[in-house]
Amino acid sequence: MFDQFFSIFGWLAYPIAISTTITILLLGVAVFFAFKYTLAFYGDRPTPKSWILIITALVSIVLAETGEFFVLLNITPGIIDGSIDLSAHIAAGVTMTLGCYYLYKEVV
Amino acid sequence: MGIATYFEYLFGGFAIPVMITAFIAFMGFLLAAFFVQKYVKKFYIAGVPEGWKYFYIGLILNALHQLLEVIYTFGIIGGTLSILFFSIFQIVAAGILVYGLYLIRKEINIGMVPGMPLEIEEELPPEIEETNKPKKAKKNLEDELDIKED
Repeated sequence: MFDQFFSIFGWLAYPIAISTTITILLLGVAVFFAFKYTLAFYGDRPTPKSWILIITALVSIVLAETGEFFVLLNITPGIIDGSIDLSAHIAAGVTMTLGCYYLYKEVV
Repeated sequence: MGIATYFEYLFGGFAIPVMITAFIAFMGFLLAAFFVQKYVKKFYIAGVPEGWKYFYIGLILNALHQLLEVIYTFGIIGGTLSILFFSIFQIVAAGILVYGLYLIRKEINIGMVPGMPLEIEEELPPEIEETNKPKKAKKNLEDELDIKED
């Protein structure tokens, strides 16, 4: 299944696979901390749009990186999974910008 | 096939969409870092907490990570060292972002002041603690006022 990945990259396949896995896990932890922050800071109050968008962006980037990882492992993307991966990239960029913009606007 | 062109081969027809979307993500993270900088300057007049500093750096590094993805997808750079650099860089970028969010979360418990312990136990100096004991305090007061109980 991963023959081509290992045959082309050789020993580099291991650092690539390990680092990408660690990155995905770390971004998952980032989602967890962002979520915990909103729970602790806002409590019963409604979570502002800014932090909802920032958490959405972090989730999107986790999805995007996971999709890329599968492509690297030579699981060629189809139209649907490929589109999800690409959409996740766009969603991450747009929602992170909007989230941080609202964060700024909320204090002005 | 060399490593440089491998990414382009893997993505195939997706190469150009991948480049465009990674570039959108790059611009998005960069703009987000810009707004975060404006936010902390406006919100934290006394001094920016460590958590927000790391979060800001993490956003910039993640933006660069997305830019590197564009470069690698098109095989502009390749080779063992660059692949190893990319592998380490993406961990550092994600790690700093996580550390920033961890500190932001932690700083709530300690009143937005970084570096302080989560629970502050006030310990009185020994001499004050001693005089605060009821019997000792009573004796001190009696001595001071020169009164005795009948």
